[in-house]
Formats: sequence, structure tokens, C-alpha cells
Amino acid sequence: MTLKFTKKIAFLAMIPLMAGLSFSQLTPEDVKALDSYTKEISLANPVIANQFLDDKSFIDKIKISSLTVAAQLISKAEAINDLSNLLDNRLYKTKEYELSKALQLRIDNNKVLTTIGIGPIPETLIPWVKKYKKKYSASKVSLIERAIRKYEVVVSSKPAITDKQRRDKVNWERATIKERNTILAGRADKVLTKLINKDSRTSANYQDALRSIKKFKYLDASGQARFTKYMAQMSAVEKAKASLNTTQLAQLDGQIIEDQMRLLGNIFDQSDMNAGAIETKVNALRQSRMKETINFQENQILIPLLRTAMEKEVKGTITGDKLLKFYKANKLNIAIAPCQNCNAKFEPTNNRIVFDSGLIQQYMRIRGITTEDLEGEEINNLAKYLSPMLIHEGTHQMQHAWAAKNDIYKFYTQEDEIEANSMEALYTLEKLEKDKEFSSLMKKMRSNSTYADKRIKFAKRFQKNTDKFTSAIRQTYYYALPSFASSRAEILKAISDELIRRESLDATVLGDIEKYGSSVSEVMSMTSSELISAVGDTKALVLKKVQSDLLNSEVYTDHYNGAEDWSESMVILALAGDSPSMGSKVPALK
Amino acid sequence: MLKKVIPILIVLFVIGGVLYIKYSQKSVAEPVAEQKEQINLPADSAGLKKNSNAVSQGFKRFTMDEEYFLCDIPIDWEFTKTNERKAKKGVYGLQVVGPRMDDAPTIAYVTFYLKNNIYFNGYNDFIKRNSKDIFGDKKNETDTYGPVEKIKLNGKIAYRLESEIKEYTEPETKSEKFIMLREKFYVIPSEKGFHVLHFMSSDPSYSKYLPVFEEMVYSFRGV
Repeated sequence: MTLKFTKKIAFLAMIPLMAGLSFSQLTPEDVKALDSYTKEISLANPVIANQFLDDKSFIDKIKISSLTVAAQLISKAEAINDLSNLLDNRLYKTKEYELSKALQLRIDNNKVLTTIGIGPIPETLIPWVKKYKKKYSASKVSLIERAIRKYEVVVSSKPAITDKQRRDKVNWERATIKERNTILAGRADKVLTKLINKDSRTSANYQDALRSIKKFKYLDASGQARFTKYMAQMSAVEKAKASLNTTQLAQLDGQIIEDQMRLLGNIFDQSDMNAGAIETKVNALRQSRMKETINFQENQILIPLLRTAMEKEVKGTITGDKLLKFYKANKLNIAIAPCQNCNAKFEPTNNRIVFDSGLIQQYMRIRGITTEDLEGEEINNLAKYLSPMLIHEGTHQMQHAWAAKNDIYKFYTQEDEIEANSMEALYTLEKLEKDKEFSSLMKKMRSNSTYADKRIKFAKRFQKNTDKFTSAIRQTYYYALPSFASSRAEILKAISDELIRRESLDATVLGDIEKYGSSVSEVMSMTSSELISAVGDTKALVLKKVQSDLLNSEVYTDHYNGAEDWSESMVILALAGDSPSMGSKVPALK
Repeated sequence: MLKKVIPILIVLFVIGGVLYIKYSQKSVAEPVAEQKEQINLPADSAGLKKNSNAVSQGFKRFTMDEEYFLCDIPIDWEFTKTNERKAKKGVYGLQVVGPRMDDAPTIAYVTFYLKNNIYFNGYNDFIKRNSKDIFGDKKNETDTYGPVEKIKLNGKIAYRLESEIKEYTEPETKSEKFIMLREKFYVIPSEKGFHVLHFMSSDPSYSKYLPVFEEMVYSFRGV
């Protein structure tokens, strides 16, 4: 189906909806304007979509005439606007993976954009780019083609000759971006696993050869983390070899990388040699031994100690005091558990903050301590080390509590991360400036802990160009996460479609949905994708409640803008000699 | 004796004159008087275009709200202006984004910070925050901050600083992916606040796109 034809159908599909409008509410000029907006939005025109969204008074008129038509138009206009903003952003070559992930969220089966001719077939994006984004450079268009995983760019530029090649190409072209990424990541992961589990080479030349394997850029997030660790391990082994004698070197021969790291750890422990920095590096990268692993009993003892120490640690800082005020009325529930590719996370379902056990164990290996040492001063040091994550994840907990208090549906977006990252950076900045022990610990840890180095660099970025921090986060770090506008558009579209579908359902089916469908409490804990999948089995009043929440978007945007303004306004105070608890005045926003 | 001294004086005068002309016509690339604030800097037109109204090919002129500044921006680069919320916080600026090369962005910013902006306590604060790492060092394992040079730019006193910094691209995950960014700033104090012209790109593409930024710098006029 051509893009043009799909768009015509999309426009025609809007006509019955428009017929349902109560035109008595609209002037002839309004009807003409609505017709014009509808036509251009069905053509995915980004300029008109943006113009429509800015035309608040007109939108209010349409809402009065028909909430459904308004919701559908808003949903489509926001999806176009969001796509346009995403692509207008600075797109780094290095961010091809993230751009691809961001596009796969927007261009997929049942997404709003598919109703206006963009997706689910990824190649439908290119004619739109060429029509509406004529200013894009050839290299930018090429990056977009790579991000949608165009066959000729990522699989083979040669013409398909054999039947199998032709079949593969046809199948590839039918796949969505998400499906294409899954296939590419799977292939890359297979190669990486084979290397890690079978290869013993570590030389600089071999490392360079691995770095140049193009396939590895398709690894998913956890695959990329495994690849990074593998490279760091090989580099550490090569450096460590300079301190070893012939017998010790012979022990490493033919061993896979994890075994080489384990053997090196043992060699350094059992000998009197002082390998200095490289010994710490090996300890940071090797697997934990029994005494460096937190068992269940130790975990239970550690949690309350760590919680108390962290509350003490953040107290007296601008962000820490804000968080502690929140925890006066809310419970701080922490856990230590594996977190996969993250350092910490907030789990809304059980209202707890999880700190990665791997991160804590690596901290112990670098500092040369075991679980038996984790008490008193060592607990305080660990609390210092983890405290930026408490601020970050605690902010996510505050966001959920804010939504619950306002009785609105909350879904995870880029804006949540802008707030959490600004809070974290503000905290780290203030601590580095005012707490010598914190500063000394992070400075010592940074050369062996990417976690520590990232916290420092992140705070520096906030300090350097505070006014550009938000856009840097949005454009650089969280491409793959949908913005508020994008998610809102998707949810509104799903609800509107479902409400229209129900108009043609018979009474028995409707009765069943109302009897057995998802309730408000169930929906409020759903993610946006869970809700979109569940609209068909959700009670009508619940759908209308969420629709009403989202149509009053100012409730959300006021919160996010307010949070951003607050963090930005605090930076001068964080860098000043006095903390708020010492009586400084918080500067008012101008 | 006098006869011997006169030719030497003439030679010194000629050398001095040549050097003066050379530096007064040189662009912003050379410092005029580093760390000598009390001395009167030459009232020359370093970097000033011969005809300030002429817009170079491939550029267009942009004038900021309230006429806080004007400068020429490359037509082919993606342009964005700061929003109204930033203006309420005392910041007016633009961003132009060029070709992405070597896994890093190529961006130029021109920003005017009013005296009551909420981000920086004046231009000295901006310079302080952008000329050293967070521990006050000019150099660490990954980052290098160059000297702060006092120069004369388009007839006004300005401060020039450069740095090379390692930036991680995924702060929340365990990935170690990073880019090396080179940055260059011109900080220009004014009565109403201060202007910052800021360029960043990867190291290999820095020299390639720096002339585009310098064209913006040459054409820049602030309040």
C-alpha cells in the first residue's frame, strides 16, 4: 500500500467522525478550519500538526462538540509533532542504536502514526522525511535509514539473486523496526557469547579487531554492557601480564577470560608483589568470591543499616532535605538485588528502591573489603557511594506519589528522567563541593568504577551548562524513552479507537466488559504499553477517566516544568558556601 | 653615539609596527594581552569584518529578541531558539547543530545571560565553572582545560577558553560508551549581563567545523 493511498484512507476515515460533530457549536469558519486541520494532519504535515496543538481555543471548541474527535485529532497531531521533534534533534552517529529504539516505539503495529501512513513498515518514514524535512543533510537521512534498519544498509547492499536471498529480503521488508532489531541483536549476541566462552586471546591487536566488528553495534543494552566488560577485562589482563613471571604467565595460557581474571586475582592475593593500580583494576573486573558476595542473611542485616546511613548521608543537602521531607510521610523501602544493566531502580509495584548487588560487590572488591567488614564506618562509606542513586530513584518514588495524590494516571516518560537526573546531578554537585569525605571517596573510586566516574562527570555537566542540561538529557541519554507527548498521543488514540468500537458492540458484550473488565486501581498501576494492550478489556468509565486525565495535560506539564525550574534555580545555592539548613535564602524564580 | 642608536630605534619601530598590524588584523585566534587586565588593550578591530553588514555565503543573519545580540548563522545547520521559560530565567539563546561526525555532535550556541539570570553569578562564575574540572584541576586522566585568555573581540574585551572532555553517553546503565568532545568558548561581559559563544565537536572534526563557528564569532554583535 502506498503512503499516499494510506493517507487518503486515513482522511476518509475521519469523515464519519466529523459527521458526528455537533456543528451547532461551531461557526462555518470553525468547520472550515477543522476540515483543513483534519486533512493536513491525515497527511502527517508536521507544521500544521504543531499549529493545531498551539491553537488551544480552537481545540476547546472541538472538545465541546465532540470529545472523541478532539482526542483523535490531538493524538495524531501529537504523534506527528513528537516524531518531528525527535528527528529534528541532534542525531549522533553513535546514537544510531538509541534512535532506532526511539523509532521502534513510535513506528510499530497499532501505533498512531500507522493511521496516517507512517509504519508499521519502517520504509514509509523515508518519503515523509524527504517531503517534510528537506533541510536534512544526506548524512542525516542516511542515519535515519540505518536506524530503521533498511535492508540495503544493514543486511546487504548487493542485489538479491538466489531464491533464499529474495525470500530473506521480502521477509525483512515486512518486519517492523522492533523485529529487525531483535534479529540483529540476537545474531551479534551469539557471536559475542562464543568469543567470551571460547577465546583466550587478549592482545591489543585482538582487541582492535573486536572493536572493528560492525555487528556488535546491534547488541542490545545488556549485550553492550557484556561487550564493554569483556574489552575492559582483556585490557586489564594485558596490563597485568607485565607484572607476572613465566610460571604465572603460563597459568593464563589457553584460559577463557573469566578464568584469566580469577587466576590473576589469586596470583595477586597469594604473592607479595605490589601490582598497585592494575591489581585494583583486576579486582574491579573479576567475579566476586564467596566472602565478597552478599548472602541472604547478610542482605537482611545490611538493609536497615544502609537505609539509616543513607538518610543521614543525604540530610542537609538541598535535594536530600526535599527527599527526607517526602519520607516523613512515605516509607523508604530499600533492597539489595541484581539489577541487570542498571545501578539502581525504583519499583512502583512494591514501592521499593533496589540497589544493584553487583555494584556493591564491585565496590567491596575495589576497596579490598569483604561482607564481614560491612559495618560502622564502612557502611557509612557505602552509603556515601550509593547516595546519588537514592536521590535519583527517590525522585521517581516522589513522582508516583504525586500522581497518586492528584488521582491521575501516571506513565513513565522522558520528563521523569529529566527530573530525576537533574536532582541527582544537583545532589552530587553539592556533595562534591561541600563534603570532603564524599569528594575524596568518589575521586578515589572513579579510576576503577565507571559508576563513580559517571556521577562526577554528570554533576560536572550540570555545573558547566545548567541551562542546557535538560535538552542534553532529552537528546543524548534518553532517546529511546518516549516523551510525555508521544506516550500521551498513543494512549489517547488507543482509548478513542476503543470507545468508537464499543458503539457497535452488542449489549451482552458491553455488559461483560463492565462486569469483568479492568478497574481503576488495576489501570492506575499499568504501564502505558500495558494499558494500550488492555483497553479492549477495560471498563468504559475507567477509559474515560484516563482520557480526561490526559486531555488536561497541563497537570502533567506544570509538574515537570516546575521540577525542572526548581533544580535549575538551585544550582547557584548548591555551589555556594552555605546550605539551606544554614539559613540561606532560596532564590525565587524571576 | 646618537647616530648608532637612531637606526636601531627605527628598526625596533618598524618591527613594532609590523607586529601591531599583524595582531590587529588577525582574527580572534591570538590573545591580545593575557592576564594584564589593567593595561589598555589596543582599541583595534580584531576579528571585525571589513563590512559588518555583509553576510557571508551560506550564512543568514539572526537577531535575538530585544536585540540582545545578532550574528550570522549557517543556513544548512539546524537552528533552535530558547523558549519563553528560559527567557523568564534570564537567558536568551540559539543553538545551531551541524553534521554529526566521529560519533559526536557538532554544535554552536550563542547565549545571552542577563544579570539576573538564575544560572550563573556573572561571567566570572561562568568562566570558573568551564575552565577547570570539578575538583579544580586543569587536567585529569581524561579531561584537559586550557588557559583562560583575555583578548579583544570585535572591539570588546572577551575571554577565550578551550577544553577537551570525555563524556559518557549512557549515565544510568553500566555501559562505558563515551565520546571525546572538544569545546571552545568566548565569554563577553556587557553592561546588561554577558554573552557566551560556545562550540563543541569531536576532536577530528574540530578543525573542519571551527571556521563555521568563527564566522559566527566574527559577525557577532552584542548589546
